[in-house]
Amino acid sequence: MPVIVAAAVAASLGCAPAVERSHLVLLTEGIPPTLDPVAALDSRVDNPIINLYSALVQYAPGSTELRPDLAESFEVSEDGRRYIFTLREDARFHDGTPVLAEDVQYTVNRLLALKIGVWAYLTPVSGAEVLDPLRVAIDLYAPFPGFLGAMTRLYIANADLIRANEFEGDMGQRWLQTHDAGAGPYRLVSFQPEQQFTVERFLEYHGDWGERHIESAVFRVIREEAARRIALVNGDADWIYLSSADTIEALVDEPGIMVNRDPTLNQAYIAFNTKSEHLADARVRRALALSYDYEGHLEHLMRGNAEWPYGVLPTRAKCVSLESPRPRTDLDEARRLIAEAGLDVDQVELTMAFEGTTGETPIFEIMRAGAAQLGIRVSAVDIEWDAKVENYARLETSTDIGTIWMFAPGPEAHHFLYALAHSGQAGSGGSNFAWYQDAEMDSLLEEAAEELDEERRCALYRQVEELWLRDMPFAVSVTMVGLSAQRDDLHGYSASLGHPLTQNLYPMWQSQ
Amino acid sequence: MRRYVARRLLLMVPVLVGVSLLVFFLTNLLPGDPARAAAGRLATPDQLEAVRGRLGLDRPLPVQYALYMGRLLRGDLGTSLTSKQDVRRELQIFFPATLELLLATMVITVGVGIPLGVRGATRRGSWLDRGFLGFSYVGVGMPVFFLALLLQVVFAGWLRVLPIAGRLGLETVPPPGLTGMYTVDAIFAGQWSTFVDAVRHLALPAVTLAIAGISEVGRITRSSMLAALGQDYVRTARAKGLPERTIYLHHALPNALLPTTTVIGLQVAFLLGGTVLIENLFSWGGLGTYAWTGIFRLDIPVIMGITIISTTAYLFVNLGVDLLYTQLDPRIEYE
Repeated sequence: MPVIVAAAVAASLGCAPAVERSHLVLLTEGIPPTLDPVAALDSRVDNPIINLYSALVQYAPGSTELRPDLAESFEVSEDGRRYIFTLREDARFHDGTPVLAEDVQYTVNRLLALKIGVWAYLTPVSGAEVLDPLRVAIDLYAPFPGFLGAMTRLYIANADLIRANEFEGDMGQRWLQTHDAGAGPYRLVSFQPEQQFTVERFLEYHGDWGERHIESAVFRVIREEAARRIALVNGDADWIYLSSADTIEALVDEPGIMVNRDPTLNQAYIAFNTKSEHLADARVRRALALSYDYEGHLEHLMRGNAEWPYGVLPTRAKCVSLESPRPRTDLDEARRLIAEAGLDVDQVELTMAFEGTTGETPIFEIMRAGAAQLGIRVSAVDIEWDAKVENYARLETSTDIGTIWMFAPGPEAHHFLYALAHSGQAGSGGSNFAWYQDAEMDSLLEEAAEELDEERRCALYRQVEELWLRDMPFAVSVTMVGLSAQRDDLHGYSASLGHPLTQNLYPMWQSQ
Repeated sequence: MRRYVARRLLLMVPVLVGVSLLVFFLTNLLPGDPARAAAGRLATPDQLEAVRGRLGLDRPLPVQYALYMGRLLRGDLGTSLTSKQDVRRELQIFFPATLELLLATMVITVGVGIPLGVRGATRRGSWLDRGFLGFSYVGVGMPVFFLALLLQVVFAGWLRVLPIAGRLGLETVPPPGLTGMYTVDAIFAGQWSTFVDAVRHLALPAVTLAIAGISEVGRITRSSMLAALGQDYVRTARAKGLPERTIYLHHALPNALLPTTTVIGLQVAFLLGGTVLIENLFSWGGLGTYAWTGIFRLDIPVIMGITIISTTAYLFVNLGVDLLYTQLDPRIEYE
């Protein structure tokens, strides 16, 4: 009957002829909550922003190699605390005005005033000074080796345009929710909240357009993966985001379709609350980490569409050592540690927070099954991200165990290890969900954060890793592989390690 | 009648106050901090305090509620904590989309459900009657998300006759925004190709939502008609030699429609709050999607705004249904 009714509706309307599409169509899972570039910490925001805005330096598409973007060149002071950028003369904002040092200064000042979003990556920045219309200096409180990588998320905005659209001193936050003030390769054509946004090529873009490019593109939200798959197969979409191994396998042999499995720096960690009554003993935390079925997660759940990291960092992060031990399952050792810790497992029931709506339920299930092998019960706290952050802002509302994904702006180990293991990152919205506090760890992380010599820095991170594995504040789960599928006439798509879950249109083109 | 309507309208005020009170306090009991939602995850304690002060979140809850209601009386639904936009303005974008979907669903529900129910009663035991009864079990029992996916697979995937999601095709420019309902606006603007495109996009979500409604409305109409056809006045009409069609449509049906009207009213109420899933599956961009994101982001002004508008709409639908009773059955009078 449903078929009859719908067929009747369809028949009554007539089958409209297929319309020749003039846009590239990309189907995503979520719409950006804002188009304000300062919020590009969130990958949903970074996705449009990387197309609408330019930064001083940027990763080459699909790599972590840094290249000049708006900046023609830069120099670093000897003490590593001042970076002087010289801007390109030909860079223009979408309203045609030139990109000047004053715009860079305004963007930095805006970041420091608002202290939101990408400020989290750039906390060492103390200010900016205009040296001349095309030269600007950015000062740091202390040397910061991750600075240039983090600057790929500081998108330069049109100062005059934002000032003209300020509302009650909000530095343009309200206006930028739905407008574009960038100098990126594409400019915003329309933004329909919760539905889609459309961009078109900016002809005066300072980069080289070459002969092949995408003229315009629509990013449309279709939350259901099965529907995205149908749209791709039907030719109604050119690229779709995927999260399920099932869909990837179903599309592999589909004619005209290519599947993409891209490496990422996105790593899932499982926080063990070090202040929790039962998890205060590191041996119990290590036992729980040993009870997690990593192989099952990788092979059976993700069917190979994830990576097994070395040590505590994603495989493609800097300072990773392939000699570091991989997370392993060893139930005998885990039971021995539990016995040694003298834990009466019958009296223990742990709580674990995870986001069921973003596919984290299997991580909980695997953790629960592993803990059950040790006789420990784990109960579910299925919770949304904002609520989870708020719960972890206070010790008394933090669960015993919790999931956290790290989406870093680049391969620097600092972005992972400092954010997770430094005591200053516990509570108040930080990522140290383990409430881990260790003076030696703090000291090592602080020293590494300011160490400009890569070899010495990596040696410090080796020591950090040793402490981590001793105290096990977090178990390392898996590293995500970016899954997507596309029509085979689309070329140039590449996942950027420093801009996870984004689709950079600039290198893309379609063959006839 | 006028006094009755005036009294019902007045009674809406305490209902709205009660609902808003309940939602306001329950929302504030949810885990999460609206100030952090507004200020950002990594906001410093100073920033959080500043945002709390600016948004009035540092005041006692009763004071916050009183201030909210004071602004509401002036037609101000507040500003979204996350989008920083006027909630009333955002509702003007999202509500018409849901209203359009709801109206299309109700047209299909009533247009198919009542004739099927009447036919089933008048041809009891026929293949159509049995078929409808079978369908109604499936229609009521099948989860709406599964039905949505099924229809998407069949009509967008296999047959490729209908679009899979969205309100308009990528190449279609939205018509001038008179009502916010694309089908209606396209008619006003004389943009017929836009109208056809909008209807094609409306078809799958509306049919998905209507399937359960058709089952319920059809079944209740069928049983009411069966009851009516057994009444003395029908026997009298037959004895007078009236044609069967006249007996069904002019004598039995108006009486049978009373319970049907009640079910339709409840159906509208369900749809007002029940389109979240369907709007998400079909990327509809209506009130359901707005509610979904508002709740996830703990955006209290958005949650309150949606509650107020949904409750108001429900109360008016309820009043409309009660008034319709008087038209269907002249014996019903309101003092």
